[in-house]
Amino acid sequence: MLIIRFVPTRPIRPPGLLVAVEGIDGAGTTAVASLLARWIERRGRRVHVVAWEASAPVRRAAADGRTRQSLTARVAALLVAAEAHRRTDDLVRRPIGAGDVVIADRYAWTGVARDLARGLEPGWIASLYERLPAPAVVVLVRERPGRAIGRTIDGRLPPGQAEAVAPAFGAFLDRVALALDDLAAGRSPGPWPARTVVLDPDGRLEVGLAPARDAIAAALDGGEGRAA
Amino acid sequence: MTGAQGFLIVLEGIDRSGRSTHAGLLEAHLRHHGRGVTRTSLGSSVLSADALRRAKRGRRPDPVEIALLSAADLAERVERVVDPALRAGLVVVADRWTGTPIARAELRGVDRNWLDRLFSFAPSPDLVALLDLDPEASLARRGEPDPYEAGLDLHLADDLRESYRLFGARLAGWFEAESRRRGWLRVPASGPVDRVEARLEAAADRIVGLIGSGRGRARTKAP
Repeated sequence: MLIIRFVPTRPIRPPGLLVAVEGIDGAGTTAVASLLARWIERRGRRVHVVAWEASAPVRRAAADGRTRQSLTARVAALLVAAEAHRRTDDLVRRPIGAGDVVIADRYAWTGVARDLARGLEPGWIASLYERLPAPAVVVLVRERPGRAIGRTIDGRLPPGQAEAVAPAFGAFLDRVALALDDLAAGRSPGPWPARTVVLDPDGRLEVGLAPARDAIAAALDGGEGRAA
Repeated sequence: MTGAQGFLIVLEGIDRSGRSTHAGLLEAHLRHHGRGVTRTSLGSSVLSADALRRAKRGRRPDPVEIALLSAADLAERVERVVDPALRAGLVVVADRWTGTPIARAELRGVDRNWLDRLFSFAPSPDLVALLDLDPEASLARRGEPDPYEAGLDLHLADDLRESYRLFGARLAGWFEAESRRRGWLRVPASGPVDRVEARLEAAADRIVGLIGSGRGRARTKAP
Protein backbone atom coordinates (compact mmCIF):
# COMPACT_ATOMS: atom_id res chain seq x y z
CA MET A 1 0.00 0.00 0.00
CA LEU A 2 1.29 3.39 -0.93
CA ILE A 3 1.26 5.87 1.89
CA ILE A 4 1.75 9.47 1.01
CA ARG A 5 2.87 11.68 3.79
CA PHE A 6 2.92 15.43 3.69
CA VAL A 7 6.13 16.57 5.27
CA PRO A 8 5.87 20.10 6.59
CA THR A 9 8.69 22.19 5.18
CA ARG A 10 9.93 25.61 5.99
CA PRO A 11 8.96 28.26 3.46
CA ILE A 12 11.82 29.00 1.11
CA ARG A 13 13.37 32.25 2.20
CA PRO A 14 15.38 34.37 -0.22
CA PRO A 15 18.86 35.18 0.97
CA GLY A 16 19.33 38.54 2.64
CA LEU A 17 21.25 41.25 0.91
CA LEU A 18 23.28 44.26 1.91
CA VAL A 19 23.56 47.37 -0.26
CA ALA A 20 25.86 50.20 0.82
CA VAL A 21 25.23 53.75 -0.38
CA GLU A 22 28.40 55.78 0.12
CA GLY A 23 29.31 59.42 -0.39
CA ILE A 24 30.71 62.50 1.28
CA ASP A 25 28.61 64.53 3.73
CA GLY A 26 25.91 66.34 1.79
CA ALA A 27 26.19 64.12 -1.29
CA GLY A 28 22.58 62.97 -1.09
CA THR A 29 23.11 59.39 0.06
CA THR A 30 19.90 59.49 2.13
CA ALA A 31 17.79 60.41 -0.89
CA VAL A 32 19.40 57.67 -2.98
CA ALA A 33 18.99 55.07 -0.21
CA SER A 34 15.33 56.00 0.13
CA LEU A 35 14.64 55.76 -3.62
CA LEU A 36 16.38 52.40 -3.85
CA ALA A 37 14.46 51.13 -0.81
CA ARG A 38 11.10 52.01 -2.37
CA TRP A 39 12.11 50.34 -5.62
CA ILE A 40 13.20 47.14 -3.84
CA GLU A 41 10.00 47.09 -1.77
CA ARG A 42 7.99 47.25 -4.98
CA ARG A 43 9.76 44.05 -5.95
CA GLY A 44 8.23 42.43 -2.89
CA ARG A 45 11.21 42.44 -0.53
CA ARG A 46 11.30 43.82 2.96
CA VAL A 47 13.88 46.58 3.25
CA HIS A 48 15.60 48.19 6.22
CA VAL A 49 17.31 51.52 5.62
CA VAL A 50 20.03 51.94 8.20
CA ALA A 51 21.53 55.35 8.87
CA TRP A 52 25.05 54.12 9.43
CA GLU A 53 26.74 56.73 11.52
CA ALA A 54 29.42 55.10 13.61
CA SER A 55 31.30 58.25 14.47
CA ALA A 56 29.19 59.19 17.52
CA PRO A 57 31.91 58.21 20.06
CA VAL A 58 34.42 60.34 18.18
CA ARG A 59 32.07 63.33 18.01
CA ARG A 60 31.48 63.06 21.77
CA ALA A 61 35.23 62.87 22.43
CA ALA A 62 35.93 65.81 20.13
CA ALA A 63 33.32 67.95 21.90
CA ASP A 64 34.86 67.39 25.33
CA GLY A 65 37.94 69.43 26.17
CA ARG A 66 39.22 66.71 28.51
CA THR A 67 39.26 64.02 25.83
CA ARG A 68 39.88 66.04 22.66
CA GLN A 69 43.67 65.95 23.03
CA SER A 70 43.73 62.16 23.10
CA LEU A 71 41.75 61.89 19.90
CA THR A 72 44.41 61.21 17.27
CA ALA A 73 43.60 59.97 13.78
CA ARG A 74 44.47 56.38 14.68
CA VAL A 75 42.47 56.36 17.90
CA ALA A 76 39.48 57.87 16.08
CA ALA A 77 39.74 55.25 13.32
CA LEU A 78 39.75 52.42 15.86
CA LEU A 79 36.86 53.85 17.90
CA VAL A 80 34.71 54.28 14.77
CA ALA A 81 35.53 50.75 13.57
CA ALA A 82 34.68 49.33 17.01
CA GLU A 83 31.36 51.18 17.04
CA ALA A 84 30.61 49.90 13.54
CA HIS A 85 31.19 46.32 14.70
CA ARG A 86 29.10 46.87 17.81
CA ARG A 87 26.12 47.91 15.72
CA THR A 88 26.44 45.30 13.00
CA ASP A 89 24.60 42.44 14.69
CA ASP A 90 21.38 44.35 15.25
CA LEU A 91 21.40 46.58 12.20
CA VAL A 92 22.83 44.32 9.52
CA ARG A 93 23.41 40.66 10.41
CA ARG A 94 20.03 40.00 11.99
CA PRO A 95 17.83 41.44 9.17
CA ILE A 96 20.02 39.85 6.50
CA GLY A 97 19.76 36.56 8.35
CA ALA A 98 15.96 36.93 8.22
CA GLY A 99 16.15 37.24 4.44
CA ASP A 100 15.61 41.00 4.32
CA VAL A 101 17.44 43.64 2.33
CA VAL A 102 19.49 46.18 4.26
CA ILE A 103 20.42 49.47 2.66
CA ALA A 104 23.15 51.14 4.65
CA ASP A 105 23.03 54.91 4.24
CA ARG A 106 26.84 54.99 4.30
CA TYR A 107 28.91 52.07 5.51
CA ALA A 108 32.52 51.01 5.72
CA TRP A 109 33.83 53.00 2.75
CA THR A 110 32.87 56.25 4.46
CA GLY A 111 34.95 55.27 7.51
CA VAL A 112 37.84 54.10 5.34
CA ALA A 113 37.76 57.27 3.20
CA ARG A 114 37.75 59.56 6.23
CA ASP A 115 40.74 57.70 7.68
CA LEU A 116 42.57 57.84 4.34
CA ALA A 117 41.90 61.59 4.28
CA ARG A 118 43.54 61.82 7.70
CA GLY A 119 46.67 60.14 6.32
CA LEU A 120 46.53 56.66 7.87
CA GLU A 121 47.93 53.61 6.06
CA PRO A 122 45.42 52.31 3.44
CA GLY A 123 45.96 48.58 4.05
CA TRP A 124 45.66 48.92 7.81
CA ILE A 125 42.48 51.00 7.56
CA ALA A 126 40.82 48.55 5.16
CA SER A 127 41.58 45.69 7.53
CA LEU A 128 39.64 47.42 10.35
CA TYR A 129 36.42 46.85 8.41
CA GLU A 130 37.03 43.53 6.69
CA ARG A 131 35.23 41.62 9.47
CA LEU A 132 31.95 43.44 8.71
CA PRO A 133 29.42 41.81 6.38
CA ALA A 134 30.36 42.62 2.78
CA PRO A 135 27.77 44.45 0.68
CA ALA A 136 26.62 42.81 -2.55
CA VAL A 137 26.55 46.24 -4.19
CA VAL A 138 28.19 49.56 -3.29
CA VAL A 139 26.56 52.66 -4.74
CA LEU A 140 28.89 55.65 -4.62
CA VAL A 141 27.01 58.94 -4.84
CA ARG A 142 29.55 61.41 -6.15
CA GLU A 143 29.09 65.11 -5.45
CA ARG A 144 31.27 68.16 -5.85
CA PRO A 145 32.57 69.05 -2.36
CA GLY A 146 31.85 72.73 -2.99
CA ARG A 147 28.18 71.94 -3.50
CA ALA A 148 27.98 69.33 -0.74
CA ILE A 149 29.48 71.62 1.89
CA GLY A 150 26.61 74.08 1.50
CA ARG A 151 24.07 71.35 2.26
CA THR A 152 26.08 70.15 5.22
CA ILE A 153 26.76 73.29 7.18
CA ASP A 154 24.25 75.85 5.92
CA GLY A 155 21.58 76.37 8.51
CA ARG A 156 23.31 74.18 11.10
CA LEU A 157 25.80 76.77 12.26
CA PRO A 158 25.21 80.39 13.25
CA PRO A 159 26.08 83.07 10.69
CA GLY A 160 29.80 83.75 10.72
CA GLN A 161 30.71 80.36 12.12
CA ALA A 162 29.78 78.57 8.89
CA GLU A 163 32.10 80.83 6.91
CA ALA A 164 34.86 80.24 9.44
CA VAL A 165 34.80 76.46 9.27
CA ALA A 166 33.96 76.09 5.58
CA PRO A 167 37.53 76.24 4.17
CA ALA A 168 38.93 73.56 6.52
CA PHE A 169 35.85 71.38 6.18
CA GLY A 170 35.87 71.84 2.43
CA ALA A 171 39.52 70.76 2.21
CA PHE A 172 38.72 67.67 4.27
CA LEU A 173 35.68 66.83 2.10
CA ASP A 174 37.91 67.17 -0.98
CA ARG A 175 40.25 64.55 0.44
CA VAL A 176 37.39 62.25 1.46
CA ALA A 177 35.86 62.54 -2.04
CA LEU A 178 39.20 61.64 -3.62
CA ALA A 179 39.59 58.70 -1.25
CA LEU A 180 36.10 57.43 -2.17
CA ASP A 181 36.99 57.72 -5.87
CA ASP A 182 40.18 55.76 -5.22
CA LEU A 183 38.19 53.03 -3.47
CA ALA A 184 35.69 52.87 -6.33
CA ALA A 185 38.50 52.67 -8.90
CA GLY A 186 40.41 50.06 -6.89
CA ARG A 187 43.37 52.39 -6.43
CA SER A 188 43.04 52.02 -2.63
CA PRO A 189 42.37 48.70 -1.01
CA GLY A 190 38.83 48.30 0.28
CA PRO A 191 37.80 45.91 3.04
CA TRP A 192 36.38 43.46 0.47
CA PRO A 193 35.82 43.26 -3.28
CA ALA A 194 32.41 44.74 -4.11
CA ARG A 195 30.35 45.37 -7.21
CA THR A 196 30.40 49.16 -7.45
CA VAL A 197 28.09 51.62 -9.21
CA VAL A 198 29.11 55.28 -9.35
CA LEU A 199 26.42 57.97 -9.63
CA ASP A 200 27.60 61.04 -11.50
CA PRO A 201 27.13 64.37 -9.69
CA ASP A 202 25.80 66.16 -12.76
CA GLY A 203 23.50 63.48 -14.11
CA ARG A 204 19.76 63.21 -13.46
CA LEU A 205 19.22 61.05 -10.42
CA GLU A 206 16.50 58.90 -12.02
CA VAL A 207 18.79 58.13 -14.95
CA GLY A 208 21.80 57.60 -12.72
CA LEU A 209 19.92 55.13 -10.56
CA ALA A 210 19.27 52.73 -13.43
CA PRO A 211 22.66 50.99 -13.27
CA ALA A 212 22.36 50.80 -9.48
CA ARG A 213 18.97 49.11 -9.83
CA ASP A 214 20.38 46.73 -12.46
CA ALA A 215 23.23 45.74 -10.15
CA ILE A 216 20.87 45.24 -7.21
CA ALA A 217 18.39 43.30 -9.36
CA ALA A 218 21.20 41.02 -10.50
CA ALA A 219 22.24 40.47 -6.90
CA LEU A 220 18.65 39.80 -5.80
CA ASP A 221 17.90 37.47 -8.70
CA GLY A 222 21.26 35.78 -8.62
CA GLY A 223 21.04 35.03 -4.91
CA GLU A 224 24.20 36.91 -4.16
CA GLY A 225 22.87 38.00 -0.83
CA ARG A 226 25.04 37.47 2.15
CA ALA A 227 23.54 35.58 5.00
CA ALA A 228 24.80 36.78 8.34
CA MET B 1 59.38 55.19 14.89
CA THR B 2 63.12 55.24 14.34
CA GLY B 3 65.96 56.60 16.39
CA ALA B 4 64.21 56.01 19.71
CA GLN B 5 66.52 56.19 22.69
CA GLY B 6 64.33 54.83 25.43
CA PHE B 7 63.43 51.27 26.32
CA LEU B 8 60.13 49.45 26.38
CA ILE B 9 59.80 46.67 28.93
CA VAL B 10 56.59 44.65 28.94
CA LEU B 11 55.21 42.34 31.61
CA GLU B 12 52.71 39.80 30.31
CA GLY B 13 50.92 36.93 31.95
CA ILE B 14 47.51 35.66 32.97
CA ASP B 15 45.34 37.46 35.48
CA ARG B 16 46.75 37.79 39.03
CA SER B 17 50.21 36.67 37.96
CA GLY B 18 51.68 39.69 39.73
CA ARG B 19 52.23 41.97 36.75
CA SER B 20 51.20 45.26 38.36
CA THR B 21 53.08 44.48 41.60
CA HIS B 22 56.25 43.76 39.65
CA ALA B 23 55.76 46.70 37.32
CA GLY B 24 55.77 48.91 40.43
CA LEU B 25 58.82 47.21 41.90
CA LEU B 26 60.68 47.46 38.60
CA GLU B 27 59.85 51.12 38.30
CA ALA B 28 61.18 51.76 41.81
CA HIS B 29 64.37 49.81 41.06
CA LEU B 30 65.09 51.66 37.83
CA ARG B 31 64.34 55.04 39.41
CA HIS B 32 66.66 54.17 42.28
CA HIS B 33 69.42 53.69 39.69
CA GLY B 34 68.74 57.04 38.11
CA ARG B 35 66.54 56.02 35.18
CA GLY B 36 63.46 57.99 34.24
CA VAL B 37 60.49 55.64 34.12
CA THR B 38 56.92 55.83 32.85
CA ARG B 39 54.35 53.14 33.49
CA THR B 40 51.34 52.22 31.41
CA SER B 41 48.77 49.46 31.67
CA LEU B 42 46.08 47.84 29.56
CA GLY B 43 42.71 49.57 29.77
CA SER B 44 43.99 52.84 31.23
CA SER B 45 43.36 55.15 28.29
CA VAL B 46 41.10 58.19 28.57
CA LEU B 47 38.94 57.49 25.52
CA SER B 48 38.53 53.73 25.30
CA ALA B 49 38.73 52.32 28.81
CA ASP B 50 35.02 52.74 29.64
CA ALA B 51 33.85 51.43 26.28
CA LEU B 52 36.18 48.45 26.70
CA ARG B 53 34.73 47.65 30.12
CA ARG B 54 31.17 47.96 28.81
CA ALA B 55 31.91 45.73 25.81
CA LYS B 56 33.36 43.01 28.05
CA ARG B 57 30.34 43.13 30.35
CA GLY B 58 27.79 42.98 27.54
CA ARG B 59 25.40 40.06 27.18
CA ARG B 60 27.23 38.76 24.13
CA PRO B 61 30.75 40.19 24.13
CA ASP B 62 32.02 40.53 20.55
CA PRO B 63 35.74 39.64 20.44
CA VAL B 64 36.30 41.69 17.26
CA GLU B 65 34.80 44.80 18.86
CA ILE B 66 36.82 44.19 22.02
CA ALA B 67 40.03 43.72 19.98
CA LEU B 68 39.36 47.02 18.18
CA LEU B 69 38.71 48.82 21.47
CA SER B 70 41.85 47.26 22.98
CA ALA B 71 43.79 48.54 19.97
CA ALA B 72 42.24 52.00 20.46
CA ASP B 73 43.24 51.86 24.11
CA LEU B 74 46.81 50.92 23.20
CA ALA B 75 47.03 53.43 20.33
CA GLU B 76 46.07 56.29 22.62
CA ARG B 77 48.66 55.26 25.20
CA VAL B 78 51.32 54.75 22.52
CA GLU B 79 50.73 58.18 21.02
CA ARG B 80 50.17 60.09 24.26
CA VAL B 81 52.54 58.33 26.65
CA VAL B 82 54.83 55.66 25.21
CA ASP B 83 56.25 57.25 22.06
CA PRO B 84 56.97 60.62 23.73
CA ALA B 85 58.60 58.84 26.69
CA LEU B 86 60.76 56.68 24.41
CA ARG B 87 61.78 59.73 22.39
CA ALA B 88 62.77 61.41 25.66
CA GLY B 89 64.98 58.45 26.58
CA LEU B 90 62.80 57.09 29.39
CA VAL B 91 62.16 53.49 30.28
CA VAL B 92 58.52 52.52 29.74
CA VAL B 93 57.28 49.67 31.89
CA ALA B 94 54.04 48.30 30.40
CA ASP B 95 51.67 46.07 32.33
CA ARG B 96 50.53 44.05 29.28
CA TRP B 97 50.98 45.07 25.67
CA THR B 98 49.65 43.36 22.55
CA GLY B 99 49.92 39.81 23.93
CA THR B 100 46.90 39.81 26.23
CA PRO B 101 44.35 41.33 23.81
CA ILE B 102 45.61 39.14 20.95
CA ALA B 103 45.46 36.02 23.14
CA ARG B 104 41.93 36.76 24.37
CA ALA B 105 40.67 37.38 20.84
CA GLU B 106 42.48 34.49 19.16
CA LEU B 107 41.22 32.08 21.80
CA ARG B 108 37.72 33.27 20.89
CA GLY B 109 38.25 32.42 17.22
CA VAL B 110 39.45 35.72 15.78
CA ASP B 111 41.96 35.33 12.95
CA ARG B 112 45.54 35.72 14.14
CA ASN B 113 46.82 37.42 10.99
CA TRP B 114 44.10 40.04 11.29
CA LEU B 115 45.00 40.61 14.94
CA ASP B 116 48.71 40.97 14.18
CA ARG B 117 47.89 43.54 11.51
CA LEU B 118 45.51 45.39 13.83
CA PHE B 119 48.22 45.85 16.45
CA SER B 120 51.06 46.43 13.97
CA PHE B 121 51.25 50.13 14.94
CA ALA B 122 52.61 49.26 18.39
CA PRO B 123 56.36 49.68 18.96
CA SER B 124 58.11 46.37 19.50
CA PRO B 125 59.31 45.92 23.09
CA ASP B 126 62.97 45.60 24.05
CA LEU B 127 62.04 43.00 26.63
CA VAL B 128 58.90 40.97 27.24
CA ALA B 129 58.83 39.08 30.52
CA LEU B 130 56.13 36.45 30.91
CA LEU B 131 55.11 35.95 34.52
CA ASP B 132 54.37 32.26 34.42
CA LEU B 133 51.64 31.18 36.81
CA ASP B 134 49.35 28.18 36.90
CA PRO B 135 45.65 29.24 36.60
CA GLU B 136 44.85 27.28 39.75
CA ALA B 137 47.46 29.27 41.69
CA SER B 138 46.18 32.53 40.20
CA LEU B 139 42.65 31.64 41.27
CA ALA B 140 43.81 31.18 44.84
CA ARG B 141 45.27 34.69 44.94
CA ARG B 142 42.07 36.76 44.96
CA GLY B 143 38.28 36.65 44.92
CA GLU B 144 35.89 36.31 42.01
CA PRO B 145 37.40 36.56 38.54
CA ASP B 146 36.04 38.89 35.89
CA PRO B 147 33.56 36.95 33.68
CA TYR B 148 35.20 37.95 30.38
CA GLU B 149 38.67 37.18 31.66
CA ALA B 150 37.29 33.85 32.87
CA GLY B 151 36.04 33.12 29.34
CA LEU B 152 32.47 32.70 30.59
CA ASP B 153 31.15 33.79 27.17
CA LEU B 154 32.80 30.70 25.66
CA HIS B 155 30.51 28.42 27.71
CA LEU B 156 33.37 26.20 28.80
CA ALA B 157 31.64 25.75 32.16
CA ASP B 158 28.64 27.22 33.94
CA ASP B 159 30.60 27.92 37.09
CA LEU B 160 32.69 31.10 36.94
CA ARG B 161 35.71 29.68 38.76
CA GLU B 162 35.69 26.47 36.73
CA SER B 163 35.45 28.52 33.55
CA TYR B 164 38.40 30.59 34.75
CA ARG B 165 40.42 27.39 35.32
CA LEU B 166 39.66 26.08 31.85
CA PHE B 167 40.11 29.37 30.02
CA GLY B 168 43.16 30.21 32.14
CA ALA B 169 44.78 26.94 31.05
CA ARG B 170 44.19 27.89 27.41
CA LEU B 171 45.62 31.36 28.02
CA ALA B 172 48.64 29.92 29.81
CA GLY B 173 49.20 27.57 26.85
CA TRP B 174 48.91 30.46 24.42
CA PHE B 175 51.45 32.52 26.38
CA GLU B 176 53.83 29.58 26.61
CA ALA B 177 53.74 29.00 22.84
CA GLU B 178 54.07 32.72 22.13
CA SER B 179 56.99 33.13 24.50
CA ARG B 180 58.84 30.30 22.73
CA ARG B 181 58.10 31.75 19.31
CA ARG B 182 59.16 35.26 20.21
CA GLY B 183 61.94 34.57 22.69
CA TRP B 184 60.23 36.14 25.69
CA LEU B 185 61.77 35.81 29.11
CA ARG B 186 59.77 33.34 31.18
CA VAL B 187 59.79 33.98 34.90
CA PRO B 188 58.06 31.50 37.23
CA ALA B 189 55.67 33.70 39.20
CA SER B 190 54.64 31.22 41.87
CA GLY B 191 57.77 31.74 43.94
CA PRO B 192 58.52 34.44 46.50
CA VAL B 193 58.09 38.01 45.29
CA ASP B 194 61.76 38.90 45.84
CA ARG B 195 62.94 36.02 43.66
CA VAL B 196 60.71 37.13 40.77
CA GLU B 197 61.76 40.72 41.40
CA ALA B 198 65.45 39.81 41.22
CA ARG B 199 65.07 38.03 37.89
CA LEU B 200 63.13 40.89 36.36
CA GLU B 201 65.58 43.48 37.64
CA ALA B 202 68.57 41.56 36.28
CA ALA B 203 66.93 41.27 32.85
CA ALA B 204 65.89 44.93 32.84
CA ASP B 205 69.38 46.04 33.96
CA ARG B 206 70.93 44.28 30.97
CA ILE B 207 68.42 45.91 28.60
CA VAL B 208 68.77 49.47 29.84
CA GLY B 209 72.54 49.28 30.27
CA LEU B 210 72.86 49.16 34.04
CA ILE B 211 74.77 45.92 33.36
CA GLY B 212 76.86 45.69 30.17
CA SER B 213 76.32 48.04 27.28
CA GLY B 214 72.55 47.96 26.97
CA ARG B 215 70.53 47.23 23.87
CA GLY B 216 69.75 50.65 22.49
CA ARG B 217 68.54 50.33 18.92
CA ALA B 218 66.33 51.87 16.33
CA ARG B 219 62.84 50.70 17.22
CA THR B 220 60.58 49.07 14.68
CA LYS B 221 56.83 48.54 14.69
CA ALA B 222 56.02 44.91 15.32
CA PRO B 223 53.47 42.93 17.27
